[in-house]
Amino acid sequence: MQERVSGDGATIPVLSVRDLSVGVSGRGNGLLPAVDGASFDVAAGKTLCLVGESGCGKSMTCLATMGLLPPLARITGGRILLDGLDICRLSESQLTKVRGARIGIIYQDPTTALNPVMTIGRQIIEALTLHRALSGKAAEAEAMRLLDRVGIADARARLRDYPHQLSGGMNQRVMIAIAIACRPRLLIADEPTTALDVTIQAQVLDLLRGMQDEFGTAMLLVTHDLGVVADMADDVAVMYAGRVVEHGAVGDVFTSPMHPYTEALLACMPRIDRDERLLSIRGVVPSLANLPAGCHFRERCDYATEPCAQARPSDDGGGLRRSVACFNRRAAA
Amino acid sequence: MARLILTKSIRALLTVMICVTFVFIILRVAGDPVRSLLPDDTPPAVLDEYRERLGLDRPLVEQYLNYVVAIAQGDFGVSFTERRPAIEVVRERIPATLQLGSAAMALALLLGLPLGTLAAFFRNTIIDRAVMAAAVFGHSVPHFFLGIVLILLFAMEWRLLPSSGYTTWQHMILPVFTLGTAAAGTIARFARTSMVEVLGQPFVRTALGKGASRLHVITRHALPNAAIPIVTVIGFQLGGLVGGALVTETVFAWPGVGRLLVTAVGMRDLAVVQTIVLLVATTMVGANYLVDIAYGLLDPRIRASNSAGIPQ
Amino acid sequence: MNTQPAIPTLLVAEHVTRHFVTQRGLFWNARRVVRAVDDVSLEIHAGETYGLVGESGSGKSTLGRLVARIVSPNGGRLHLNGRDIAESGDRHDYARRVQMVFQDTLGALNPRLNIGRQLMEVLDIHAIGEHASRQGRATDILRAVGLGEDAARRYPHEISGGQRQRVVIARALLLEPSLIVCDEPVSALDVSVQAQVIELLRELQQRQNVAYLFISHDLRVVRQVSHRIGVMYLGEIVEQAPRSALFAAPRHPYTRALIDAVPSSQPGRRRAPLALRGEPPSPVEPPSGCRFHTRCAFALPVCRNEAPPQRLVGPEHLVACHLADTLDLAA
Repeated sequence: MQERVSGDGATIPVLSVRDLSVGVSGRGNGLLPAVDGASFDVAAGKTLCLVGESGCGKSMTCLATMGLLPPLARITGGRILLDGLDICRLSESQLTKVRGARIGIIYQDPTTALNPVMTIGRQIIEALTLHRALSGKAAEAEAMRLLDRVGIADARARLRDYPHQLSGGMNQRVMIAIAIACRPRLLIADEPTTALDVTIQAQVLDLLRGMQDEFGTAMLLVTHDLGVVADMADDVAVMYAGRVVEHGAVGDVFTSPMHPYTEALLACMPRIDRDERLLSIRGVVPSLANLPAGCHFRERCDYATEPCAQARPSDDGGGLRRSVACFNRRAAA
Repeated sequence: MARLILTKSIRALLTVMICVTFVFIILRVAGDPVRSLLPDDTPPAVLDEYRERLGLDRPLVEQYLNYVVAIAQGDFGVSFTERRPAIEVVRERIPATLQLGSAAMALALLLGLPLGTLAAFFRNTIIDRAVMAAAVFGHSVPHFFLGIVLILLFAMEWRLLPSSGYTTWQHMILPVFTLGTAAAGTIARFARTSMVEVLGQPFVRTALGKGASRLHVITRHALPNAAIPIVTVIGFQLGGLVGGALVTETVFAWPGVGRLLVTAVGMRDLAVVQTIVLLVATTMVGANYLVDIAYGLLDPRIRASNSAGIPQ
Repeated sequence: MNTQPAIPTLLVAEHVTRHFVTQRGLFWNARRVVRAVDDVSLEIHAGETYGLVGESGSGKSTLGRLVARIVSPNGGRLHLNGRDIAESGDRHDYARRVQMVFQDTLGALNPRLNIGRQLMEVLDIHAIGEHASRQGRATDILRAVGLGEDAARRYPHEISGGQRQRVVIARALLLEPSLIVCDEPVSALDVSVQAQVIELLRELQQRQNVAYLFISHDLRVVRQVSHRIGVMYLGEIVEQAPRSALFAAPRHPYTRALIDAVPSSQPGRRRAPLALRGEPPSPVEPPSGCRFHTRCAFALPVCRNEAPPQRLVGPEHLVACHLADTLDLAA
C-alpha cells in the first residue's frame, strides 16, 4: 500500500485558482459573497479536496470553474487558470470546447444527473461525438470499452438501458465513464458519493483513484466528509462561509491543524475506529446575508481576539504549500 | 409497450361506452323527448303516437339496447330539420371543422412552443415577461371578441380580408388566427413552466458539462423531457378541435360542426345534437388515448410501469 | 457503555414480517412483493440505545415504523412491556409510550403553525394536564432541548436545521415516552451540528431514562450513540451485538465489509480492500438461502441453498451466518 505524499509542485499545476470571488444576487441587497477570494492549485496526478459544511462555497467554486454558474450568480473577481489559460475570460462557445474535453465533472446524485429519457449508450456516445469525432460503430465500441473500464458488467446490454433501470452506484460509474471519455486534464467531483450507500461509496472512490493513477488526471474533489478527505486527498483546502481558511498537504492539516475551524471540525467528526465523546462547534454557520465583519468564524471561535473583528485575516505569505487565514493560528507542526 | 396500448385501448372503449350511456340517460331524464320535439299545443293522442313510433313506450332496458345497437350500426337517428339521417348531416360539416382546427393547431404549436421555450430560457427577464403577457392576453380574450375586432379591422376598415365564408384561402386567415392565438397562449404558458422545471434539473448541467452548446442541450435534452406535460395540453386542445370552435365558426359563418351544433340546439334537433355530443366525446377520448400512447413513447419510465403513468 | 445488571426489557420484536405489494398485476403480470422486513427479532432494554444500521433496501426504516406502530406487521408480533402492541389500545394511546423522530424536519413540522402552537397541539390532543399549565410545559420542554423561549414564536422555515431537529425531539418528548424511534435524525445536518444533537439525545436519555431505536446508515454515528447494534441486510438482521463486541470482533462478512467501507479518519492509510463484490440485489427478488451470498467473498454452496439460522456466538451476540465459527474477521 503506497503512502500518499504531497506533490512538490515543480511544474505548472493543471488548475490554478487565484482570488476567485463569486457573487450571488440576494433579495434586493446586492451581491452576496458566496466565494470570497479563494486560491488553490491542483497538480497533475494529484487530488485536492475542497472540504467544508453547507454554504461554504465549495460547490459554487466547482461551478465557476466550469462556467456553469446558475443565473443569479457570477464571477466577480479572480482568475481560473487551466494549464495556464484563464478560462474566466473565455466566451461561451470557447468554453464548450473546454468542457468535457479538458475538464470532466461528476455530480452528487447520479440518477438525476443523467437524462431519464435517453439511453446510457447515447449519453456516453454524445460525449465522444462532441470532442473525439467518433461516430457509429467506432463510438459504440469505445462506449462499451469505457463501461468495461469503469467496472460495469455486460456492457453491450447496458448501452440500451435507461438510467432508472440501473442502481445509483452503476449510474455513478456511468457518469465517471462520461467524464473521462475524452481523457480530460482535470476531473471535478462534487460530492460524488454522498447519495450512495457506504459500500458502493468505497467502490466508487476506489474507481476514481484507479482512473487517476491510470491517466494522470488532476482531481478536484468536493466533500463535507473528512473521512473521504483522509482517504482520497493529497492536499486539502478547508472552506468556511466562502473563504479558504486553511490549505496544505493532507497529512499536515490532519495531524496539526492551524485554523481553529479545522481543529474544531476534526474534533467533531465521528470516528469508526474510536469511541469518544464528540465535541461540537457552538452556534451555526452564518448566512451569507449576515456575515460578521472581519473573520467570518470569530463568533464561534474559542480563540477570537480584538483584531479578528477588525480585519479579514489573509493567507500568510507561505504560498499555497501550507497557508492559513487566522490571526491566532494554533501551534504549527 | 404492447401492454400499455392494450390497457389504454380498453380504457378508451370503456369511456366511450360510458359517454354513450350518459347521453341516453340525459335525453330521457331531461324531460319527455317527445314534448321537446313537437310544438306545445299538440294533442295528447298525437304525442302518444309519436311515442310509439319512436319506441319511447318500450321498457328502458329495451330502448337502451336498441339505442346501442343502432349506434353500433351508424344509425344516429333522423335530423328533424333536414329530414335526413343525422349522421350524414354531421358528416358533411366535419371537413370544414377539421380544416379550421388543424390549421389553428399548427399555428398554435408554431407560435406557442418556441415562445414558451424562449421565455423559459430567458426567464425573469423582459423577454419572459413580454411573452407571458402576450400569452395571457391571447388566451383570456374571448373568441367572439377577438373575432369581431379582427373583422372590424381587417374586413371593414382596411378591407384586406373577407369577413365570412368558406371559399378561398383568404377566408381562413382570420378564423384560424382567432382560434390559434388562444391555443398558442395556453401552450406557451405550459411550455414555459415545463421547460423551466426541466432546465433546473441536474442532467442539464451534466449535458452542458460534456461541452454541448446550449442550443444542443435545449433541443436534444431539455425538450424531450419537457414534452410530456406539453403533450397533455396539446391533447386537450386536440380534443376540443371538433365542436370546440363553435363561437369562432358562428362569428365567421364557417360551415363546421360547431356552427351546426348551435343551430341544432336552437332548433331542438335532438338527433343531430346527440350525434355531435357523441362525436365530441369520442374525439376527446381519442385524443386522450393518443396522449397516453405518446407518453409511453416519450418516457421509458412510463413504458416500464406500463399502466399507471406514474414513473417508478 | 457500561453493562448494567438486569435491565428490564422494554420492547420485543418476535419474527416480525412486513411486505409491500409494488405492482398490481393485470392478467399475466404477477404481483411483485417487496419483503421489506422478513422474520426479524430483537429486544430493546429500558433506557438504552439500540442502533439499527443498514444500507438502502435493508428495511431499517420499515422496522422503525413497525415499532412506532405507523404500519402493522404482516407476520410476527411486537410486545411493549410484555403486552402485544396490536392488542393494547389504539395508536393514540401507543403514542404516549412510543414516539418517532424523522430525518426530514421541514416535512415533519406544519409550515403554517409556529413552534409553540405545534407543541401545544400535542398536549391538547392528548389532554395532558390542565389547559393553563400546557404553555408552561411547552416552554419547559423547549428549554430542555436547548432552545430559548423565543423559539416558540418562530416558524419552522425561520430556524436552522439543527434547531428544527431539536424541536422535533422536543415534540417527541412532550408525552414522556419510554421509547423514541429516531430515523436518520442527524443525517441531514452539518457535522458541527450533528454532534450537538447527538449530545442532546445522550443527555436526555440519562435524565429521563428514555430508550432509543436509533436508525442510521452511518456506522460512525451509530458507534457514538449505541449500546447495542443490529446490522440489517435486505430485510433481515444479520448480526446483533453490544457495541464493543461488534467493532472489535464482527462475525458476519457484511458487518466486516460495512466497517471496512467507512472512510478512515487518518490520511496516508489506504483502506483495506473490501471483501465485497457486485451490486446490492433488488429487494423484490432476494437471493435464495443466505441473502448475502451473492456478494460474499466467503460464500459456499450451503450459503446458496439454506438460510442460516441466528446463532449465539458471545454474550448478547447473535449472527446469521453458516461460517460464523470458522471465519476470523478481526481487523
